[in-house]
Amino acid sequence: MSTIVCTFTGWLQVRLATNPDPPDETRGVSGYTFALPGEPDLDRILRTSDPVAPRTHGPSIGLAVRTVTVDGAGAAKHPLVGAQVDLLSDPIFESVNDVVMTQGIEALEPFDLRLARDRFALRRRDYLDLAYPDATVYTVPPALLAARRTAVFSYDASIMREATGGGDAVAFRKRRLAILEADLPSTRDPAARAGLQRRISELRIDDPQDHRTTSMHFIETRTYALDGPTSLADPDGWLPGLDTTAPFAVRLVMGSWDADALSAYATGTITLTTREAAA
Amino acid sequence: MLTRAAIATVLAEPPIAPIASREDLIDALGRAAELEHAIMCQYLYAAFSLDFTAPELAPEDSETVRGFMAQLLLIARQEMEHLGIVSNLLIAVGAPPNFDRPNLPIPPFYYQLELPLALLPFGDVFLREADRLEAPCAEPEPHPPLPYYPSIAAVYDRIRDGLATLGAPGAPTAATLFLGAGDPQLTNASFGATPNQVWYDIELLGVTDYASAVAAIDLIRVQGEGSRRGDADSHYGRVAAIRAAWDAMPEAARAAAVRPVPVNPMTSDRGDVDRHAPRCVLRDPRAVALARLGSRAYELMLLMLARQYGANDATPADRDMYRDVAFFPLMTAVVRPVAQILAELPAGDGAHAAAFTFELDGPIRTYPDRATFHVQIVERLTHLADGFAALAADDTMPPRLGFVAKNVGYLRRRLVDYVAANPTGATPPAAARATEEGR
Repeated sequence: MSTIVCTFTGWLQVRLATNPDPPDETRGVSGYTFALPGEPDLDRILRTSDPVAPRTHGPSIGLAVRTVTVDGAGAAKHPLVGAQVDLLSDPIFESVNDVVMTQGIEALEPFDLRLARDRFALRRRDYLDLAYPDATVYTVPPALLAARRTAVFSYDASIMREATGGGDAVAFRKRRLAILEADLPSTRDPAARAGLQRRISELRIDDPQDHRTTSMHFIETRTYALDGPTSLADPDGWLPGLDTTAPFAVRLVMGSWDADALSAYATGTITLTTREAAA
Repeated sequence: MLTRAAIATVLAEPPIAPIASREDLIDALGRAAELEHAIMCQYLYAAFSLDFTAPELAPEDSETVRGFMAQLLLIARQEMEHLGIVSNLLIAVGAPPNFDRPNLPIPPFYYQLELPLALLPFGDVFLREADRLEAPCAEPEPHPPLPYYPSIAAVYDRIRDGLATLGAPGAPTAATLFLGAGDPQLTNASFGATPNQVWYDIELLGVTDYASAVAAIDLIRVQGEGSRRGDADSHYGRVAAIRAAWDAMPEAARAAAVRPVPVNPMTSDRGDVDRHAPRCVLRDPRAVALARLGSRAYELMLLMLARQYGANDATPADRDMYRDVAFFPLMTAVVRPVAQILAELPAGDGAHAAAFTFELDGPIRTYPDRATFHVQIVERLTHLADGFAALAADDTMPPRLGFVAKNVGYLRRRLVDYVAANPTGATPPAAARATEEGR
């Protein structure tokens, strides 16, 4: 029996309105995130690939396995290194402006994870209530929701440093501002220009206590136990004897929220157990 | 517009007396609370009348109009802040908060103030009135006593002078004026903000003594009514910037940017408003039903706010619950979406879109005990949940209403669970039964 831990990192996109806008605000008004002219409506969906209307100079969206350990030992040549990690089924942050859960520690739901590379694909979901697969945050008992889905919120620059190489949020925004201002003279398209001007005006808000800046140091940590049916395509035997009777443990840490690019950095682990010794 | 005769009548009245006692101060703060509340409604109404997504708008104009809406909502939040600060002042001097106010439109000089208080759609008329409302003035300075307030700044000047008379070091009543200073107030810290952190553009200052009371009054004056000329972050500066941008917009864009909402909408031809002002009684049954539900949700929010302030039998957990339901859920996930949905419905008069009416059908009271209050908030949320669900089931209503209905239903469930999990030993049997029936 082997324990395989895949550590992944990367950037994801979340196009959502921010407080004090309503949770279903589609364009953004009184918060600090917006659908710019020419962009589709905000939809709150967390995307790990195929970003919608990605912003110029934002990070590339995608999560991938960076390292693998087998029984605690590094396995640099493990075939899952480089595998793509995706969250499927359109997950959204389900605070609903504190109607359902407190903001910052709210559920990210549904949690349906896929690990894929070449012909290999592994998919499994953490159901709120396995007995009721269609259950949502609105239908499960609040106590169960809180027990299964409450995140841990913390505030420091560690994730931002890992993501960007620096922890100074004001300086980060200032650098982005300079880049966008340099783009402005050559931006002729009316919609693109109006959107760029909106981004610039937002980045010019440089109060270090403003949410635009402080949110770069927000860190949300979630843990999951993927307990649903397992879908596995492993023609080359990368995970021999994968134990699907027990839940897969997943840890997901998000931070370095880049409000200008509607993107956040994520890092985490997926822990798998095989009944046979892993290659 | 006032006639010469009306002005002469007002001027013939005796001048407003200075504040000389605690009851004078409480009365003045109570009126200030109502003024801030009414002004907040004015800004919200104008903001909700804007449509920056109108397809006729060029991208640049759309962004300009979105900026107008954001600025008006910011000013409205700061009017809420002023209401919150005045509430803290009331608590500090030993009075309950005042979340009541007359329905709009309010007659001229109702508050001895020659300023219109009405629900106006965004446009030239609204901007002219907002400009007057936020007119800058110098630092507080002596002026001859008048029978009316020449500006809102003058309302606060009188309160500031009264605080000095009653509470300044050396004043005979200084030691006893702030007898409620230890009672619960709402400040930015109540929302988890660090000291001096501005929270969604608001800075709720606590009041515990003369110095903090004066600082609170000065914040209201400088930020809002009575700002200094040239301060771009004051309400006057913000309104001036909006006006300049509005004046520069093409006429067609101006026409497209504002929804055809009426002046002073209401759900019935009520008698408790200025009958000389233009009014629009909503006729479309769906609009009337939704506007009434929206006002009830807003009223519930005010009732929960009122229980947050001052000494009462609310436990710390109760106060957290009131805050956690009133602020984000009711304000941002119910009241504002309902206001925006209403603007998509016809008023029923053949000319206008419907709009949020901000009507209050009864005074906003501060309920004295948690047992009966909790029964009533569950009842109110049950009525709201049932009402929104019924309206959302009408497939001619905008689909967004379904999300509101779902959220109100969930809030009701949360409240029922909370009340069941946090009983009071003093719960009268009838109240306990009523709570059980609400489950």
